[in-house]
Amino acid sequence: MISQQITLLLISLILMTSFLMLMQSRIFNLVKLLIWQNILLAIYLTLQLFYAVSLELIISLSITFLVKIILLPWLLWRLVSYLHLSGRIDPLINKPLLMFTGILLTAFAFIISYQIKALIGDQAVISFSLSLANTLLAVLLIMFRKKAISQVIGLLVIENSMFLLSITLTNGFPWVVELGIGFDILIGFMIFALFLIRIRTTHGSLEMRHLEKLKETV
Amino acid sequence: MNWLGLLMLPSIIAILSLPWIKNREIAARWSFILTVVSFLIALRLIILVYSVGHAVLYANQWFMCDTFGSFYVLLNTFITMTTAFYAMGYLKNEYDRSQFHPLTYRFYHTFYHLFTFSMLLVLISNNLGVMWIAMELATISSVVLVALYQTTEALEAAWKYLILCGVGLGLALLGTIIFYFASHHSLVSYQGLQWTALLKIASQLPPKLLEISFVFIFVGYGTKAGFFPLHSWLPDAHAEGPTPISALLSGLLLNVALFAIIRFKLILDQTAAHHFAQILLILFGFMNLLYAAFSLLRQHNIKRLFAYSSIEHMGLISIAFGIGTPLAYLAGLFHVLLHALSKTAAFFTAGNLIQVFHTQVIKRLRAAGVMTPLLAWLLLLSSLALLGLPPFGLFISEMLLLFAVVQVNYWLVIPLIIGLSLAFLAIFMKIQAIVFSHSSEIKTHNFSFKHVSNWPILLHLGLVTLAGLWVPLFLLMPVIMFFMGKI
Repeated sequence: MISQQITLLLISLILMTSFLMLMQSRIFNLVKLLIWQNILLAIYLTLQLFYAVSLELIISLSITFLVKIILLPWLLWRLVSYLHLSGRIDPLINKPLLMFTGILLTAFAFIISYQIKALIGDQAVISFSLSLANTLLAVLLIMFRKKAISQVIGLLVIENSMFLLSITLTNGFPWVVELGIGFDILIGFMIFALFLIRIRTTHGSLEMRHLEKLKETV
Repeated sequence: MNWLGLLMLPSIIAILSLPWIKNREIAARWSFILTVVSFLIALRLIILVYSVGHAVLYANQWFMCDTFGSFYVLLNTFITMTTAFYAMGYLKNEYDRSQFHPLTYRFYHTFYHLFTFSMLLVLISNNLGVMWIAMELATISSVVLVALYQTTEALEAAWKYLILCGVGLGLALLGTIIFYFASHHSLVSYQGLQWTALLKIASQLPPKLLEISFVFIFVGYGTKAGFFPLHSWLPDAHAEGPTPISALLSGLLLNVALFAIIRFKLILDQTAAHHFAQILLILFGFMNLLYAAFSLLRQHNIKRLFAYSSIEHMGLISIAFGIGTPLAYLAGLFHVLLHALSKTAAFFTAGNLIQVFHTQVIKRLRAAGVMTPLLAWLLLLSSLALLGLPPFGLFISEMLLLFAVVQVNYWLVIPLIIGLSLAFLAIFMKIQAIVFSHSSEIKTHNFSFKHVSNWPILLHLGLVTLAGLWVPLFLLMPVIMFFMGKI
């Protein structure tokens, strides 16, 4: 019973970091929060080992560990310091409104998942709705920021919630699939980094207003 | 190693060898030769699958090629081959025009094969997780190709493509996880994502969960297929990438994304949730058709024009697959085949014209009929083929679709007719202005234009005309029998 409460606490903490990211306007803090979220995710994954120890779970956990806890944060940190991103990015709409939208989306996620409560069970339904809410918050994070780097961070939060969901619901994918997904995310991130560097050398900044030329003209 | 394993070999050889070939001509030829080999293997594979009548499996059932898949594999390898042939001439002209860095060519060829290989992987993977991975790989590799010119616009288009499809694929993964959850009580771990195993036990899966997961899968892969609210990456990516890549994106990638949705729909068809998938596909199909038809009217860029036409045709195909009667499946599959062929022909012609006039803007592409008569005729014919005029095959497929829609509900014919005629008007108006106009100011840029780069266009148009005169039922019927056998 206590272990269940601990897992719920951890998922809530992960959701809370997403809310904090939504409010945060300094890029450095945004990256720090993402790293915190990854660490919380890692603790959560290790806790799953106590429920059922199997070789498959250990392999898939170690792949996730390597990619999400070691490689990605390290690369992200390198990227941020390479690009000298120390400025502020304010959301496009004011913060209380953004917070309120986030709360509404969380409530929406709960409403959706309680419709399938009978199918996934009492315990899983809360974790399911919290990870769904985390995904929706990440979409908010992508939509309401003006800089390209925050969109990348938003995508990484989406990936985090996918991992959370797959572990909560099904004890993870088969390890071959897990390996492929981790590899894809890593390659994707590197392409992102190359693009950010490229956009910066062309425009001198990462403001999204430089990337709004291809509008439909009537 | 059976034929299915062999099918992957040419692409893998290409990905490993092409980064090291420095000579541009040799690299382009080597790339073409490998695509020919891959097409021949696909031909052998489809004959095998059609004659045996059941799926070919490989590597402990991780890969599978059934009649549905082999039809797409054949189409994919064929277009990969003709595009590689077209690219030989195109890249040579492009080199004369814009002085690429030599490294760009190696980049282009390697990522070209990575892109087509990952699409092939989507078609032959039996595991829904592997399918997602291949789709993500296809996105990443095509983003690099879209940004190949490194101009401001190309970077912007590629960035938009990457972010939108990244979010979309994240949602598709969410859907896949829920799907896996729905099945993991009935199947042992690794089988829970296996398509063939899922199909057998489909009726035991809880319909409500399948519905929720299908929504996410539809939105996710639908982003890649260019469905209406999340389509905005599509015209930009088509317009800013190199022309062979626009052709591949339009002719193959959109089809492959729709293929992934249909794979899930086939499982849903066996359960109580089948109406849900049907309604979703038909609804978004009509939205796509009407939105694209209205947007076509205000396009000023020839490649964007053809990109919006792709959104329209994806809508038509989605309506056909959504209806799901044998007649509708025939219309849908036939449309997939012909749209891919004629859209690539249209993009090839547009690419050649752009190289002659050095612009994509329709207003400045004037007097093509006088300056480059052959290209002007090819442009006219390929856009008429796209619009579904009688000698061409799309006439028959759109006619069949109309009949299939009448069978379901004859009120639906009205938006279909409105969409089709608006699209006809918009494209025809713009293309005839390019072909039949006179202008004294505009001059073409002189370079030695080779007829070779028109061969693939002629081949595609010839095939589309042939299909209009003699419907290739031997190719389509086995797939329809396969669909019907499942329901």
